Order: sequence, then C-alpha cells, then structure tokens
Amino acid sequence: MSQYRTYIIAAVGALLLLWLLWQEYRRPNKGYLIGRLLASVLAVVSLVMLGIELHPSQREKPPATTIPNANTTQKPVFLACNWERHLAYLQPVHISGRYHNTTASPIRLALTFAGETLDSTTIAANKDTTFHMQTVPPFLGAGLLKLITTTGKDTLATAPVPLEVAAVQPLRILFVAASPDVENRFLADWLSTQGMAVAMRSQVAAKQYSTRFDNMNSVSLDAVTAPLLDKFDVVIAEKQALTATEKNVLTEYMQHHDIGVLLQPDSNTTVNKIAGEILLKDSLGKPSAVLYHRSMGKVLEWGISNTYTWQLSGDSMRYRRFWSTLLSAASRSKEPKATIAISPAFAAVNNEVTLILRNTGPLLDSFLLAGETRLPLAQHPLLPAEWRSTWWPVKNGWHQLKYQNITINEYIFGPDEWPELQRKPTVVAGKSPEQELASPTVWWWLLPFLAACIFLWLEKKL
Amino acid sequence: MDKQGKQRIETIRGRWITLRIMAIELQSAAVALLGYVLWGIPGIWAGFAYMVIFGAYFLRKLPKTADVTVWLNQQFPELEDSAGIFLKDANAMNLLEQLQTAKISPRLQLLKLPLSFYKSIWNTLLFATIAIILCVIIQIRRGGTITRELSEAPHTMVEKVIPGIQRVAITITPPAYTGMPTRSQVSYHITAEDSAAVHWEIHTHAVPNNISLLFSDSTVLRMIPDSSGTTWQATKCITHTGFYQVKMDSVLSGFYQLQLIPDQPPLIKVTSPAPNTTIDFGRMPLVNIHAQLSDDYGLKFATIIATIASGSGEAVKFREQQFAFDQGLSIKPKQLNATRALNLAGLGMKPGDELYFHIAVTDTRQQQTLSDVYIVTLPDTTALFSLDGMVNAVNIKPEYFRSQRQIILETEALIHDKDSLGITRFNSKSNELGTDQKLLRLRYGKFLGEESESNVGDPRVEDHDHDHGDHEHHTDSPAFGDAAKILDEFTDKHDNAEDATFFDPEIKKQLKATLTEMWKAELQLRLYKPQEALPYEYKALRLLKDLQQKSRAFVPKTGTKTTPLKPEKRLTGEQDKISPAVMKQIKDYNDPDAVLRVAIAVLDGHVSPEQLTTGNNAIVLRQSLAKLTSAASREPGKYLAAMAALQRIVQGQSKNADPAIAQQGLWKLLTPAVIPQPAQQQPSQLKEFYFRNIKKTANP
Repeated sequence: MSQYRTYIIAAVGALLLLWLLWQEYRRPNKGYLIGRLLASVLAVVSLVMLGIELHPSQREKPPATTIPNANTTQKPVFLACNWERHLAYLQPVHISGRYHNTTASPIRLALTFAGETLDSTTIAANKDTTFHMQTVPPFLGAGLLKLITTTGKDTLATAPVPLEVAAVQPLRILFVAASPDVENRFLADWLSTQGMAVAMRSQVAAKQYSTRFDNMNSVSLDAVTAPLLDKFDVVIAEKQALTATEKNVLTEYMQHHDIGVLLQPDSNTTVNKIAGEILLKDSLGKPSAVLYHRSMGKVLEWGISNTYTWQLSGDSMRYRRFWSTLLSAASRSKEPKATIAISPAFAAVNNEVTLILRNTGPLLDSFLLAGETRLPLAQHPLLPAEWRSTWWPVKNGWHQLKYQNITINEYIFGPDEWPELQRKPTVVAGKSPEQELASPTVWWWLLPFLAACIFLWLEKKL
Repeated sequence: MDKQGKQRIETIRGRWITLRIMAIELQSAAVALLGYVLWGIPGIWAGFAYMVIFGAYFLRKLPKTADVTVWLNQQFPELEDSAGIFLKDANAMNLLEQLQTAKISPRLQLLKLPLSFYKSIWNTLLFATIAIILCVIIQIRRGGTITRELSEAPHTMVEKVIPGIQRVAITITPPAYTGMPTRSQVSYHITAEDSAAVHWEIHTHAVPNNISLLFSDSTVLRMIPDSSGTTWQATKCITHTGFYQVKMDSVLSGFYQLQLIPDQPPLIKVTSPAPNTTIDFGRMPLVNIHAQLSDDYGLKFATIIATIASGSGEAVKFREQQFAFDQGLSIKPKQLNATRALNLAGLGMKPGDELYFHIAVTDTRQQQTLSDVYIVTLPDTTALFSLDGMVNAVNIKPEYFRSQRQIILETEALIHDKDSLGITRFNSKSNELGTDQKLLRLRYGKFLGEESESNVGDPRVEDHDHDHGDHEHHTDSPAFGDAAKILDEFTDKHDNAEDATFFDPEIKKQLKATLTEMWKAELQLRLYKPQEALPYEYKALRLLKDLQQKSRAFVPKTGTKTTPLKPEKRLTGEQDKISPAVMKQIKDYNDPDAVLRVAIAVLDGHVSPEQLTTGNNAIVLRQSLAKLTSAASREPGKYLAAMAALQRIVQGQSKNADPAIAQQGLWKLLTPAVIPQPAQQQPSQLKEFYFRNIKKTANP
C-alpha cells in the first residue's frame, strides 16, 4: 500500500486543485483572477510535494522485534530464506526458505531471470511451510534472479536473489590403473577437453607404467607419494593398482588433507553399505555411488564400470552428469588464502554491515576496500583468522569488495527488498538514521505553500 | 432589430452545439484512455466507438432554433415568453409582435448565459477526472504485470524504419511450381517460399544518392532508382533464411526478418500391405497396394518399383519392374490416396518367389522420397513335405528307424499272407526278414562299437553268421603280404570305434537293450515263427523311438581346460626392452559459452548504460553480438529481436526493455553443459585443529 501513497496523494491534490480553481473562477469579484488561480496551483502543488516527501514509510518507527512473528503478521511473508551467494561455475543454486501464507488463496513463488521462469512452487492457503527451489543460473559474474510472489494474477512482491557465479576452476586428476582400459581413457579424454589437468598411470608390466599427461607438465608417477598427491585434487584408482606402500601413503595423506579417492569398481563391487553419504541411486532406488569420509579425506565407491558405453551410445549428457556429480563431490575443496563475507545476510542500505575477512596467513593490508571506501580491519578476539570491519553502505545494489587481489561482489538490499528478513536497526536515542538523511529538502516546500496561502488570504481581506 | 435578435439566438444555438460536440469528444477521449489502460492499443477503439455512437445520435437530433427559444423562455422570465417571436419573418409580424420585439430585443442582447448552459462541459470534466483516477488505480494495481509484458516484448517485432522513406511495397512471387499467387505487403518482415523472387519498391520523400539492401549473408543489393529518383527497386531470389537492413545513403534501418518456408519433400504412408506379407498357397496371388501420398505444393510422379526374386541358393534371379498407380498425377494434387493391385501370377511369380517393392514419389520441386521396402512372399509348399532335418536333429538315423518299422510291416504282411503263400515261400520270406533284422542290428551295433563285417549286405553274410558277443576271430586264410589282415588277426579293434564315444552310458545301455530285442526277433524269424517275433520287433521299435527322443538332447560343447596361472610368476619376465608409451598433450580449452554467460551478467542492470559501451564490457558484448548475429541469420525468428536489441546496446542507444530481450537471446544460445567443480571452503584452521585433537583423544 505504501508505494501507492504517492499516487493517492497526487490524485487527491488534483481533485482539490480542480475544486479550488472552480471556486476562484466562480467568485463574482473577478479581481486578481489570474493571480488567485496561480496562487491556488502553487499552494496545492507545494502541499502535495510535502505529502509525498514526508512519505509515511520513511517516518515509520522500526518495529521492536527483529524477526517477523508468524502469529502477529497479517500479510503473507517470508519467515526465512537463504541461498548460496557465491556459486562455482555451472553449479545449481538451492533456494530454501519458509513462507507464511496468511491469505485464503494459494500463493505461487516463482524464481525468474530475464522474464523466464526457472522454478516455482505453490504455498497452499493459510499455510506456514518450507519451500525449496533450484536452478542453474545462466550467467557468469554477478546477476540478480527474481523471486516473484503472486496470488492469482496479482503480484504481491518481487524480491531480488543476488548471486555471483565464479569462473571455471580446473580440477587436477590422477588416474592409477592396473592396466590400460577404455573406461579411464574415455574419462581422461573428456576431462582434458574440459581443460582439467589429467595424469594417468597404467601398469603395462611389473615395474613399467605407461603414462599420460594432459594440460600439465609431466611428473614422475612411478610412486604415489605425498608431494605427488599435493599436485592433485582427485585420485581415481583401482585397488590392485596401488602397492602396499602406496596404499599406506594414501591413507596417511588423507589424515591431513581433504583429497578425494575414487575407488574403481571391479566385477564384484557392490555398493550397498549404509555408512556413507549416498550420492546417486539407481533406477531401483539402491545406492549406486556412496561417499565416505576418512579423516579429512573422502573415499567414493560406485558400481558402474562401463559408463563409456553411455557416451558411445550418444548419451553424453548422462555421462557428464554422472562424472560431474562424482568428481565435484569427491574433489579437494578450494580453500583460498582469504575470503570476504558479509553479515547480516540481508544487508540493507543505510544500515550497519559487518564485513568479515577470513585470512589464515599473515595480514598484508590493514584495510578492506568497499568501492572507494577504505575500511580498517580489527581482529576477532577469539578467532585469530577472522578480521572484521563495519560499513555503512549508502547505496543499494551491487558493491565491489576488495582485499589485496581478492574481489567479490556483494549485494546491498534496498529498504523494500526482503523487508521482512532485514535486520531492523535498534533505535538509538529515539532517532533512526534514515530520518536524518531524508529530511532537509522537504521543508523547502513549506515556503511556497505559505506564500500562496498568505497571498490568497490577503487578497480576500483587502 | 429583430434581425439582431434572431442572430443572437443563432449564436446561442451554435455555442450549444459546439459545447455538446466538445463534451462528446472529451468523453470519448476519456473512454479511449480507459480502454488503452485496460486492453492496450485495441482499447482505443472503444473511444472511437463511443464518439461515433453518441456523435451520430447528437447530430441526428441537433437542437433547432425553436428549442433554443423555448429554453430561453424557460430560463429567463424577463423575455416574457416572447423569444419565439424573433424567429418570425419581420414582415409577417403583426403590430403587437413588433412592439414586443422592440421591447425584448435589448434584453436579449444583454442576456448572460447561466452556468447550467455549460453543464455538459462540467459533467464531462468530472467524467474525465474519474476516468483518469481509474486509470491510475488500474496502473498501480497492475504494476508487476506491466514489467512482465515488457520482458515478453521480443515476440512482437517492431519495425524501425528510416525517416526518409515514405513507404515500401514488397512483392513476393513464389516459384511457379508452387501454384501460389503473387502477393504484396507493406511490412518489411518477409516470409517467403523457398526460391521465391522478392521485389522491393521503396518510395522516398527526398532524392537519396543510393539505397541498398544489406543481407545477413553479407551480400549487398543495390537498388535502382527510376527517373524521378524517389522510387527505388530491387529484386532478389530468396534461398535461405536470414535478415536484412535497408541502407539509405549512410543511414541504416533496423533489422528485418527474412523467413523462408522450405519446400518439404513428399510424404508416403503405406497402409497396405504389411511390411512382410506371406500369401499362403491357395489364396489369390494378389497384392493390393494402398498408399497416402502428400506434399506441400504438389506431387509430380509416383511409381512402384518392384523386384522379383526367384530361385534359391546360387541360382537366385532378380527381375525389376515399375508400375504406375491407378490414379494419374496430371493435376499435380497435394494429396493422393494411391492404389494399385498387383497380380503376382501375372508377373510370372511361382511358389518360392519373393516380391520386394518400394514407392518413389517426386514432388513439383523434383524432390524424391522413397518409401521403405515391402516384401511379399509366395511360400514353396513342396519344401514343407521334405522331412530333411525334421525327424532328427543329427539327421543320421531316419532310414534305420524306418527299417525297423518296415520289418514290422512286412512281418505283419507275412503273417497275413501265411495261408496263401505256401510253407516254403513262407519260411524263406521269414528267413529273409531275419536277415534284414540282422543287418539292422549290425548297423546299430556299430554305434556301440561292436564289431561288424565290412561286407554287410553281401549275400554271403547269411552264411557265416557268428556270435558277436565273443571276440574270437576265425578269418579266411590271410593273403600273403596283406598287412592289414595280419594286423587284424592280432589286434582288437574295440577302442578304434570312435563312434562309441558319441553316446553316454545311459543311451548305450538302451541301445544294447534294443539290440537284444532285435536279436530275439531275428531268432524267432529264423525259426519261421514271425508271430512270436512280432512283440520283440515292436519292443525294439519302441526303444528306438525312445532313443530317438534322447538323442535329440543338446550336448553342449566342452570348454578347453587350461593350466591355472601362477600369479607370483606373472609379469616377471625380462622387461628391459619395454619402453611404455608416454602421452602428453595440451588441449586448448575454450568454453564458447563463457563469454555469453558474462554478457548476460553484464546486461543484468548493475552496470550503467554508459559503462556498457566501454572497456571490457564492450568487448564481451561485441563478441556476444557476433555469435548472436550468426545465430540470427540461421534462425531470425528466434534471435533477430535479441540481436537488434544487443546492437542498440552496443551502440549506446538502448531502450528500457533491450537488456532483457538481449539476455533472453543470449540465454537461448547457451548449450547445455555440466562440469565437475570443487566445493568452496572458508579458510579456517578449525577443521585441522579438530582432527588433530580428535586423534589425541583417540590415541592418548
């Protein structure tokens, strides 16, 4: 309703103006007719401008509670909503939240981009429920999806879903095979065409290995050692291809590093253990790929040893999906030296925002750059790797945050974007910061209004 | 005096009419506005309709001067009900009327028209105000949907025309074979048949130096002016989809779609016969071919191409023949239910022959379509009577089985004819049957590895009938130097009989039992007692039948057995000479979609329009534009709007909806892709601490 107030004020003003002009025109005494008409116009326009500028929503005092309360709210609202703000290339974004539909009709939530609906869900009438939506954003960089809530044909609200998609990160994969085989060959071929670094060791004789290096410099693969493993994110190995020492090296390495090991299935592999995280299920609902955590490392087992036939039969999307799921889940996480995070999640304009720098190494710069603003950093008293800074963004929309060579884009929400989830500022000394920012220009309209009124009054009296 | 009065009344009437017409126009404007807000451009017609209806109604009932005087009389008492007098001819007035006119006339001149005279205007203004407020409310209520309509805009193509062009006339002449008439249009977007000739005629206001058409395949068509210099013409044969622009001097128009309607090859749907048809012996050797032939413009030829195959094995012969359908194609129909009956006997087909046929259809563009091949078979019934391979899978023994049956039949005949034959002939026949039985027994004995005379069937066989159970050999005096015979004397050839290994012990046992029965039957026959021999013969036959069933059992091939491998010895040979392959390659990975994806992000509104045309953004957008342009020349209907929008953005002349349209076009260009990506993790040593400490507690 508040956004329509401008129009309502304008319409009322127009009606008032028409009536006043008519009254002035009708008056038997036609003296100063033009002057009176002009004065009426000026008075009404000033009054309307005053009304618009002193927008009630800007004068409203923030409610005392910061979290919307399901029992007291009358309008349908999001009680919670969250998603990954920074995504890896071509990875899906998962939007989960809770919506309270207080109306008696179902409400549709639609996730859109550039006018195309990507995913949608319906919240039944009078229901307070969780929802989940998922999509792969089509852009690379910073972009806004839109979450549109509609009931029937009416749009209730449009909320931005800001995301930043990172550029592609090449994986480094080591194959250890007991013999040269087709399955590995196909997988290595596909991965290398995707720009991944691939090294392959296939045993051809007792102490002889045929090797293959794609998109990387050749290294000695005669023995799997810790320095060699440092160079890779994922190891795809057959159990019998690893010597006893190598197995020990791998186990020891996984104690301290989150490398992923994909154990290739042999003819009697059955994936039916329950001890791991089920990544994929077959058509019968049985787990076909299971991920186990071993200390810091990950071990992945699966039961299909002829996926190359999918690609041969032209079903290359299935092949890619399968291997992308497996390799993404198992690969070593990218752990940058430093990252920048923002708090609260729905950081609003003209509000206090905390920027958090997580930096494991020594702190090279003592400040962050938010656009052109230098923000000094302070170390967290308990977490030595965390540095914080306070920032008051004055503009909503995308902002670039920089520290050294790390640059991220963060979105600052406007006051009408996700208002129910924005953390409302506590009222300091009875004044909210917006009031001070909004006020100065408003009262200038009072002068012409008063002047016009004085003229009209004087004209009548004289 | 009265003239002035009359004039005054006319003036008032004129003002009345003007005010009413103005009011109606204002009202219809308000209705049109409301209609526009509610239904868009077509809603404006509501205003027109309003104006026409009420305008016509008002014009039909225009107020007469008499009406005006009546109104004046009612409104102004000072006129003393005499306004009507002014309408009379001055000469026709009587004295009283003249006096009254003279009295009223000045009053009439000084009359001030009351406000109620302008009532219609005030009412209309109120009406318009209400309409405007309604519009504002509707607009506000609809706030969200209007932006949605904007984003769906690419479907409606707006033609951007060069200002200097007065009009365009485009004539599309489809190729003659289509039989379509020539058509004209004034819109630039062209949808034409394949190979249609398109003729542009552009009329300009001024006299330009040159006008040319720029096509998406980078060909330029210069237009030729007429003598006046304001009418320009050009013709082009359209053979592929794309888009074009008009260039007048140095001014470029927007992009216009050039959509091609391809000529599809003809379609054939054969409803009968079935792909594989067998005409059984005794049925009419007739094939009814029913096919539905269709084409988008016309069918020219349709033939059945048949091949008759006769004979078998290497002697197979082929003969090709063509048949026309019963229906002619002289009128070049678009659709045809074609039929043809083929008499196979008339084609000289015999049982065992096959007919293969397909249908070839050519359309008016000389595009040919061939149907699938249909096969009609006339089976050879004589082959059905052949017992080859039907009695026994091995196909060795049938004659012997028949022999046992023959012996039974002959024995029964002998018993039947006993009285008529006489004792001597009866005995001799019985003995002969015994011999037959023996021969049969010997033949079966071979399968068991029993020894047998090589001269079976020799008449002398009957003479040296001896026991095969024992292994004594009393042979004829050996011929000197005959090594084989000497060898025969001293060797036992039991295990030479390889045949014996054909059967498993169970079958051997049964075969032996059969032989025993045959023995007994032979004994009885030799004793001239065929009646007694018969049960043994039957039993032998029954056992043989059983055997026959058993011998059909499938005997799987036995696999080769190899010596087991010793894994510890595996791969322990000398391997110095082996130099395994080392493969090294760098594959230049270049994600073709990355630039498009970046462009979509750039267009997402967080970059100001000025920044779009500078720096990296401009490079990204230009590269994307190149891709979009080539896509648009392939599929203008899908990408042309997006291309035009992106072009405007690149040139810095973008409109509000352009980024969304361009984004949609770029989005459609993306190929589906999946790629493995590592998870992101916050840098923190907590995890490491955790694992270090958990190990400490686990192993104190």
